[in-house]
Amino acid sequence: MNIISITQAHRKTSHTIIESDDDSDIEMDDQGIITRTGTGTGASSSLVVTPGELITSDPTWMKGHGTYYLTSSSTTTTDENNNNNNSEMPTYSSLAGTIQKVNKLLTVVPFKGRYKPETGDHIIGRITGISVKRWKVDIGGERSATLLLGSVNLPGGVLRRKTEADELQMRSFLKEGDLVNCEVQNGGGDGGCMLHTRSLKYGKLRNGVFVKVPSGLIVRSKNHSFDLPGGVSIILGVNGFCWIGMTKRDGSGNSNSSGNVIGNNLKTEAGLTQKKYK
Amino acid sequence: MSRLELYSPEGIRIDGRRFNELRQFTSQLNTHPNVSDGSSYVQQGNSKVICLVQGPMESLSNTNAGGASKLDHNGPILSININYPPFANNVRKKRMRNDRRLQELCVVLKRCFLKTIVSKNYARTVIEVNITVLSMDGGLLACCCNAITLALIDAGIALYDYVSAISIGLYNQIPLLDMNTLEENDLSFITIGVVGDSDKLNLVLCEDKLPLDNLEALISLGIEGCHRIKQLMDEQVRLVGTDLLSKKQ
Repeated sequence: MNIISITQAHRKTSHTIIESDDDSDIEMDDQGIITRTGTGTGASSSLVVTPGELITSDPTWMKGHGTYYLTSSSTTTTDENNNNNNSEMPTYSSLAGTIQKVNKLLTVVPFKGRYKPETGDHIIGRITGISVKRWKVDIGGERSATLLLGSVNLPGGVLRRKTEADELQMRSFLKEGDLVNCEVQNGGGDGGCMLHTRSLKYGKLRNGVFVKVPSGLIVRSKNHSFDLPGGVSIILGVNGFCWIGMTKRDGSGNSNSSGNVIGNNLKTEAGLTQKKYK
Repeated sequence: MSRLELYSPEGIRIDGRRFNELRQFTSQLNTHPNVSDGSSYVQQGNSKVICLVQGPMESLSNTNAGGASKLDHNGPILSININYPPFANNVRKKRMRNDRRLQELCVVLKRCFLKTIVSKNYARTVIEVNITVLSMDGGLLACCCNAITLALIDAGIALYDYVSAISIGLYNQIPLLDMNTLEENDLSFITIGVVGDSDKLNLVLCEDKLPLDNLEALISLGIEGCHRIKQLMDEQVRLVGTDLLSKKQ
């Protein structure tokens, strides 16, 4: 049975009456991008797929994130647990995104989506809660991250023992709503990620402006903090949380030292505000 | 009120369509990029619906603070909320906040999408879907279903396939595709949601009495209509996707 549908004119097409055919090949001709729904294995690296689209029926490909396959008994299984024989199982996409191939692993990278933490990412988080020996940090991901009391630098030096007194006054180091400049210690997995600020360049952020951008726009690179001329420095967290603040000039060069240690706040804050009016 | 001629002998419906003709379908993705993870706007004829998706996240964003304790270890908690303001209808009508019919629709949609989302990827998370009806001219459930599909895709949530929905009514043995309000008021109709390009139904809702022997004809026309809608949605997803990609490079 044919369906009549009148679609709005966009781009070149105008007042088209399209009748659906039996084959469901979809093409988009207006930008020269042609996607196929048939089989076929070798394809270009940046191919756009949408949920439910058949990526390949070649069983040699491993099924990574953003893909799924249907077993013969029509029960659905996904992602990494392909240890049993999944041969002759065609791979489908479960996300709208581009296909990425690493050796024989097929993954679909979504156009958009929440930040997925990876080990070593330089990010900015916001403290949302305090529990026993740990802070709960919102990093803009699916789950909130944990910052252990043991993985921050406490006032008075790097190698200080964390005593019970520290445990009791955790809120004085970092309280709810504070922004922390930190690194992902072990990310990914299912149980949320762990953070640490065990370097002098990390720590609590103050005297600046917080900006949030989509995390997909930030490229993972070696350096994420930049000093701009005029005493402004910016930190572009991989999770899309950015910080624009004053350059810390106490210590040596741009490796801002003691000024960043958590809890050393009052003195530094006063120092910075003085500098502001110089 | 005079009796309306819903289907003329020449085969023209009250708004000039044929029996197998869809209303104009327009959709937009990523309409509210700053306030939500995924957002969409769907327009089917004069029915206009906005859908915002928050999540997956650890707990509900607003008021419901008690949600954290009852997180599901096997899949996401899907909370669907339909906001139907008084101005959306032809006749201004204030609705109770817990309208029986809307709550029922929410349950139907929730069941449908819990089967569609790849749930094992989202254990112990919450996905919050908020729908706002801007104007309604028939096909409430179908519009909402299409809007949710697009918004979930936009949010980067893994789905097994598209779910496209349409309403089909029955007029003297003749199935009518994509009903408007006038037709919905006088005829009995059924809403179906189809999984992708297959013939599988993920959503069936019939709120009226319908002769059983006509059901097959209705559903077969509905499936064809859903396939067309899926095609239109897919085109839009690709358009927005390539646009987003070009911004990244």
